[in-house]
Amino acid sequence: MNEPLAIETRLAAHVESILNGAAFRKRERDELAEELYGHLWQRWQDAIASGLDEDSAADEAIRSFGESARLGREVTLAYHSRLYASTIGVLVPAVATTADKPGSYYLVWAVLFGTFWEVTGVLVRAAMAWTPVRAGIGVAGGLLAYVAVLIALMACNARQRWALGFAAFELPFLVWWAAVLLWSGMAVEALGATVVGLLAGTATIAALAPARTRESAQQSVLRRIARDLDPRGLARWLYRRPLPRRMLVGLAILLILGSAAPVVALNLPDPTQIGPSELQVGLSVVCTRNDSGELRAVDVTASFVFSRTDAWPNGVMRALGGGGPTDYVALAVQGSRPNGIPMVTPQATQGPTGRDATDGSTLAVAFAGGDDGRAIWSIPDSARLQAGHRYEIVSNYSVAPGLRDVAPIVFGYDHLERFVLQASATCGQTATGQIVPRLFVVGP
Amino acid sequence: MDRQISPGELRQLVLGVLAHHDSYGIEIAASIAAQLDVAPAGPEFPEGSVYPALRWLERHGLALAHWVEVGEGAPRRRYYSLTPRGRRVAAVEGQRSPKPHPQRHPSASAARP
Repeated sequence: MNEPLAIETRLAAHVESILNGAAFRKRERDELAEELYGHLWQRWQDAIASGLDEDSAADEAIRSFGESARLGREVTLAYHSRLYASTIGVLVPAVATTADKPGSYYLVWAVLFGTFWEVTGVLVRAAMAWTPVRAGIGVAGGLLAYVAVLIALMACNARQRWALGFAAFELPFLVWWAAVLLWSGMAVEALGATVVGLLAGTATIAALAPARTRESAQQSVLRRIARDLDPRGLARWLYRRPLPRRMLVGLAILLILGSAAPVVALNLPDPTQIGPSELQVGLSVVCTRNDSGELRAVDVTASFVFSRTDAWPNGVMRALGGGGPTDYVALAVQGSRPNGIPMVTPQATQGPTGRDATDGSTLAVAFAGGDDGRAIWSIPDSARLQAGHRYEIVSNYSVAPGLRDVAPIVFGYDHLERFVLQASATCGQTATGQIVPRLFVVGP
Repeated sequence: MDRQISPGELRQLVLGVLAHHDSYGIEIAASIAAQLDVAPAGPEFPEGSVYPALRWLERHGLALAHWVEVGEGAPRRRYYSLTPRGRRVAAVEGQRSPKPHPQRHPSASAARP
């Protein structure tokens, strides 16, 4: 049998193993250690009184007290991670079974939930359709905002009063995220997400208010709903449990940063996408004349060479849809026709034809439309474009008799509406594409 | 009861016990074990769990504590009582999820005075 002193050391060791991982102030630690030890000592004494020997009594006291690892975790939660403890840990189980939420609660909930859906919309949009770096920043920002909104939703559900103020703070962001959705071309989603969130809250209020105010059944439903929405009811319902100021500031920063990220992302250069310096556009105009110097034919060769190609320029969704990582959908190139040449007809024009001058293969080029003096072609199979290959689009024009010269021919390449390179040349000239703010700033 | 009690549920139960009278760890644990109709040493309710719950309530301003000397050779006891705010919360929680009246389990031994 052990000496009592040795057993008391065992009990103290068990307390130490519980508090081992938790970091808190010495005074708090000492007090908790004393309290836990007192419990173990008392149980040890109880077990001895019930007839156990001292060793077995100590075993029983330690066993009934609980496993040290679990208790250590619980102690850590009680002293730290106040946000977790106050929003998730304590009252959620109780709230899950309650039906006494005042109607005004759902107004707060609607604001938070509306933002939640909007952020989801932007997240999906960014993940599927944005270029890789922008998508990464957009998604990261969306997730930050998500965390802030989710915590506020859970805190509101757990009757934390600070969530009310946070919801008010979040009102502008409800509008902001809708604007981000609109800006990124998701008008339907923006409207849908906002309306879903707000309607869900409103519908819940309308559905639950009559039941909650049953005692005043003689009043009209509208009056009962209005009574249910009385903010004083919410004030009574919420606990006055402040969130530490630093935590509140942290959440606000989380929401602001997260909300700013998608807009910043859309305006940041994405290094996975090419710039004007990584694409060479060339134009060559060869004129054939008869003996008297009149033009017989004009051969226009437009060329472009990528020093590298864009990675997923249209986002994951397009790439997964079979386009491949460099799918530009139908790249548009535009060119002006020589002066005085009849409208493009099979008789007057051959081409345009496309080819890969590097390996001699054909590059499909489709006539996509045009107006007077201008033709637009597309490259439907743009996913096959490779860095370092020289691609050419050739048009051979038959010229009406009597024409001695042509006005400069313009060839423009608009890369995904990100930048425009344009070259201009006339008979016997070659030109290199220069960056211009928009197509055909010179020329016809 | 065939599952471990969660920290949230335990805090509610502790709140309920303190709403009736001021108390200390072992007594609170015994009272909860009786309410849950489990032995205090059972795996679903390790007695030591009441202390994190008590400290949580104290840190959130729902409970106050003070030390009481119990006799020579015995460790002090830390008695807990609810603050006015704790009483309001307990009242609301009590209305929302009525608890069974405390009933001593045969194996739930009370602390020595």
